[in-house]
Order: sequence, then C-alpha cells, then structure tokens
Amino acid sequence: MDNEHSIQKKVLERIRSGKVRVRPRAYFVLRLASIIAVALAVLVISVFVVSFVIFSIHESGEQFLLGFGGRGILTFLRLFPWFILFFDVGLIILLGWLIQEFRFAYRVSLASVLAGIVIVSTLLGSLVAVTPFHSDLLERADHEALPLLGGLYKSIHDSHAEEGVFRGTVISVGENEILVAHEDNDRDADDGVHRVLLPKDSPPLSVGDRVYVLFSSAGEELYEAHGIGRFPDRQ
Amino acid sequence: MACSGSDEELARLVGQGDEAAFAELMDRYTGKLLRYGRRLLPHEDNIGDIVQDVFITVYRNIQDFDTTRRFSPWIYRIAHNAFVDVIRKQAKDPLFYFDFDRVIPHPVYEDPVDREKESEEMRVLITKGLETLSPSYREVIDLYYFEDFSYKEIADILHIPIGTVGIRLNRARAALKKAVSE
Repeated sequence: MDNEHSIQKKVLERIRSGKVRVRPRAYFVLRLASIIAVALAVLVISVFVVSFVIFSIHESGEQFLLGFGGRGILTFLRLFPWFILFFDVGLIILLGWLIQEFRFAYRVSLASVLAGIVIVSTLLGSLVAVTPFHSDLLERADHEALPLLGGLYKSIHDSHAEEGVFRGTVISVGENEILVAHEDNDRDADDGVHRVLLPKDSPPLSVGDRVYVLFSSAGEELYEAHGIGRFPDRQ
Repeated sequence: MACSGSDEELARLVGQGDEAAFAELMDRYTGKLLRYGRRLLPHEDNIGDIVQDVFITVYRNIQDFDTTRRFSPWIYRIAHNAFVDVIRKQAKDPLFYFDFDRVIPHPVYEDPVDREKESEEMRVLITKGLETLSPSYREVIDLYYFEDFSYKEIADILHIPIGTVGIRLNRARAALKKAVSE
C-alpha cells in the first residue's frame, strides 16, 4: 500500500513540477494523419508497381510466352521482372506493418491483412494498367521527356535475343516462313531482317503485323520459331 | 478532492487538466498494474518504477484516449508495452515477439459458461504453475482469469487477432496443466 502511494506521489510530483505535460490533441491527430498519409503513399506506389508489371508484360509481348508451352513458360519466368515484384512484396509488408496500428488490422490475422492488401493492390493495379497512364509515360520516356522513371520504361523494349525472343514487324509472308524486321532500335546484334520458319500453330499473319517470336537459330539469318504471337493493332 | 464517476469520465476530466481526476485514476489502477507486472515479470525488482512510467505515459497521452471506449484496455495496452520493453531488454527468447499464430486465421469462440466452470480449477492451477509458463502465455492467462477481460479486450491490449487470443489461451491452459501434473 505504501509502495502504491509512493508511486502516485512521485507521478504527481513530476506533473506538478511541469516536467510532464499532456500532449495536445493536435499531436495525435497529426500523428494519425501522418500514418494514414504514409500508408496511402505506400499503397499508391504498390498499385503503380503492380500496374507497371502488368503493362510491361503486355507491352513487351512477354505474355505470349505463356501460350508457347513449357519452353515459353521457362523463358517467361526468366524474363519476369522479379526485382520489381520483390520490391512490391516489401511494400506490401511495410503497409501491413503500418496499419497494425488500427483495430481493423490487428484484430484479424496477418495473413488476411496481407492477402487483403495483395487483392486491393492487384485489382487497382489491373485497372490502372488498362488506362493510357503507362503508355503515356512510355511515350514520354521514348522522347527522353521522363526523368527518374525514363530508364525503367525504356527497359520494357529491351532486346532479349539472348533468351531466344524478339519483337518485329512482318515485311513478307511466304508459305512456311516470314520475313521479320527487328525493331528494338538498340543497334545490337539482333537488329536487321530475319527469315523465320513458322510453327504449325502460327496465327494467320499479314504484312505489317507486329509479332513476338520465340525462336532457336536454324542457320545464318534463319530462325525456327517455336511460337509466334501477334500484337493487337495499335489504336 | 475525491473524484467519482467512471474511468472514462475521469479520463475526460484529466484531458481538461483535472489533476484530482488523475490521482483517482491512479488510485484505481496502481494495485492492478503492479499485480499485472508481477505476474508478467516475476523476477523483476523494479515493477513500481515501470508502473510509474506507465502513469506518466498515460498522463502525456490522455488526449489520445477515445472516451467512447473502455479505459481499462487502453491503460493495460500502455502497461503491456512497458513490460514487453523490459522483457525485450532481457531477451532470452526472441521468438516471443514473433508469434506464428498471429499470421494464420483462427476461428473465434468464447464461451462464458466454460469460463465460469473452469475458473476455480484454473485458479488453483495458475497458483501452482503460472511461473513455469512463457511470458506470452502468462500474460494471456492473467488478463483473462485475473483481470477479467474479454477476448476482444485482450486482442486490443495485445494487438493480436481475436482468434489468436483463443488459441494462445488454449495452449497456455494445456501448458499449465502439463506443468502442474509434472
């Protein structure tokens, strides 16, 4: 009992001495607003990252690889921007940790919170990916008018000939082969016009079509395609 | 001047600068927090100093308390943080701070009848074996059986999912029974 009174006495003495003061309500409102602002910023970055990954896979043509069988799937996995995905996983964990401050988050399991963030982030990211947002930024990057993120956007059109894939425009269509002009403008070894032997399940192609080719070399300037995807016509 | 009224009403008055209201709140909670601290940190000599710091934190942050909610889970949350800081400094078992049961969802089931039925038997077990339990089990047992908090309130104090409270409590009971039977 004496101990209890001595604790209370010491606390009151410190309060009366002015060393301990009640923090104003504004302090807590600002703190809460800061947490919400940071959490929202992290969510926005996460949505941006998810939408960029979806956009880059479509824009680069890598989504065609998923329809090219085992070899295509392996190539897809090798080309997938894992670094960006891991960055996003970091953002999701950070966001999960930030919102643990709130009752709605800590009262449910961490797995549910993280799954919720992944779902929200993926849904919003998918929506952003179908808007002209990223294609506008890509165009600006192509015109050297996008500071900071320009390199990231330009990397969408990087050549991956060493992985056995390239994009190009059909300039001639034969019975079992086509001529494709490679178009990544990086002036490396895979630039030029290539003869491509068509696979059996090739989609119908016409001159001017933009195509994505998974190939192996079958001789000088001759490629055997294991899969060909045709990009949709640009609007 | 002696103050009366609910804890929440007193907390509101403290926020308006009423020192007597704070003295009354301390009067109501000093014993409880000392007991809570002693159960959680049975070998710690400075529980009084920690409780003193808890009251200082409560006073500083009283404007952060939502007077439409119950005061006791709020002050126990502050005390929990203070005691866990001490455990962290003495850390022998870092896994205490990462609980896999927080990650996976668990069903929530709290039966008040079971609680009454069990509580006499549990009090005997607790008296005999509480110290043998890990801090996380000791704490949940203390909050449920001695401080009489509900699962939801314990979830608010420990910032863990409600289902995890149930799981932790079940495991603590089993560990207690095992320890006492040995």
